Amino acid sequence: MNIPNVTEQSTLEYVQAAAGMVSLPLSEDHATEIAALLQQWIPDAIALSKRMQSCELDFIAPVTTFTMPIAGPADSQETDK
Amino acid sequence: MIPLNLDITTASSMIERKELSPIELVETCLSRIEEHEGTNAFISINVEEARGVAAATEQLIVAGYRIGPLHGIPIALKDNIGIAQQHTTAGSAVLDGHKPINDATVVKRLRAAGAIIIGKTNMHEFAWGGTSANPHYGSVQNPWDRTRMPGGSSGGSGVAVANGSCIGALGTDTGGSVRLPSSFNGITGLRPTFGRVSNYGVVPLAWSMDTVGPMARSAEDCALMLGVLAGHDSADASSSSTVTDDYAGSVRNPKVHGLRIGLIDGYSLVNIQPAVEAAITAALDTFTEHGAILENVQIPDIEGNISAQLTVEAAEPSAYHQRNLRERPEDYGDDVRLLLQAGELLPSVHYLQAQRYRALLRSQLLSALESVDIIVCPTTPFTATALGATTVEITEGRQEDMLSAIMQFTGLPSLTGMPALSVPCGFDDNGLPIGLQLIGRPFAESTLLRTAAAFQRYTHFHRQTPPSQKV
Repeated sequence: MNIPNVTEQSTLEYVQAAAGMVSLPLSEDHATEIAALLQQWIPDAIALSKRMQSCELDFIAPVTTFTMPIAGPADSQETDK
Repeated sequence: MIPLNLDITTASSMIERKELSPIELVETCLSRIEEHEGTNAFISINVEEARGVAAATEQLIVAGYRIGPLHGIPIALKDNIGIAQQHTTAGSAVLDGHKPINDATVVKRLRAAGAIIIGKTNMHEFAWGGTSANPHYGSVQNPWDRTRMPGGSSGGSGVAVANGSCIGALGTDTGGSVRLPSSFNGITGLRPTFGRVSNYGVVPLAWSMDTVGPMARSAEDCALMLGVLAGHDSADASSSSTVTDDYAGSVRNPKVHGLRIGLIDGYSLVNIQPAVEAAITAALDTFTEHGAILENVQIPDIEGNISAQLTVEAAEPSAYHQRNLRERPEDYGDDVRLLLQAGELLPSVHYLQAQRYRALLRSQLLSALESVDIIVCPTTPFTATALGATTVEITEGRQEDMLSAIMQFTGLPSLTGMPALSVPCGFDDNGLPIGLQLIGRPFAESTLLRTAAAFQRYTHFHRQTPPSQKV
């Protein structure tokens, strides 16, 4: 299977299609600006996604909010101001 | 004449001894706000309220009462921090006329400690940017060179502290928004551990990374403020119940002897301007001269941090702003509207992989912090750029996108939820401040504050003030 390249034209088409999918009104100019921005970001995001596809990372769950680990003995009580 | 570099610690003890009047302090700050109006540091000023509270705090002191550690201290708030029945704009026309019903928890805590809220500071719109170029309230100007930007998004807070318009300020830090303006304005600023300080009543940027932090002249001042701000808040779902520390106590007689300082291989001193490298190297020499030990540490997957930060910081605000983006897109500035719209179109799997990456990065950073007490790097790889610049030259002949470049070093603590502090460590050839970033273990703010306080005993960069620049 071929993986399509991220090109200026394909990104613009993606932006227009995706905006339709989420009902986001976009002018032609704004769509072009967003496509240019995403073209900068997406290759790095793809590389990061590829890294996270590694088998040895399968156990990692996404973070949405943190429950921080206890840092030391002083952190063993609860406080409420 | 109240000195421009008066700090909270000194002012507080002078007020307690009746050597400094809160009324005089507030009047000085108000006159400086007026004098520096052209820097666009403030969005609103609480003139009458500040004068009234100053008179009341003075009466209390005369009668022998001291409300708390910030009694009579003028503090400025970034304008995304809500005060009940007062305008809270988050630097945007979208929130024009918005008056929260309740005070933010941090506002309640400041007031309970005796602070005087002197005004609300300008910022990058909705905190989504690092320059504080604001199309609605004017671009904030750096007091060290008014043709330069002050960093952001808490740019107004950074400027207000630097030019003495307040004695301390609050900023918010998602991807670096306390530390960046602290570095560019030559002041000290702390991003606490995620969950350490309540976000209740603060207009969000990215829920999974947002924090509120103190900005002041010294680490000692930040410690004093953090002692007031920190603690569990049941109104904030992400607030931690981990016990607070004696932050003010932790900075008394600070030393670095035996402190293990980590430098991340291939990261801490890479892709930075020569003046920044020289200042950081000199700061490291200062630490080792006083007995600290430098060690190299590894974070194998550090490279993906900027992409992850852009993805998370773009996607989460887009959810918060979804309605207004459809109903009134024209009320956003062009740069922020573009980022919000782009964020909504990112593939969800990229967002989730970025969130998984954060867990990976956190585990690697925690491993590194097992062998050292803190990790250091520059706060920013460059000094303040010209107002309006959208690119920056870090290495000669290579222009980099401002948004990515400015978060080169601040993203690591933001993504992992760790505390980080920016401390002034030098100036470039143009007299522009340089900041050193200290990163610590979860809830180890005291270690960062103590290290920075020790550095400020050995050096005097934090005592420097901007050249007088009349409006």
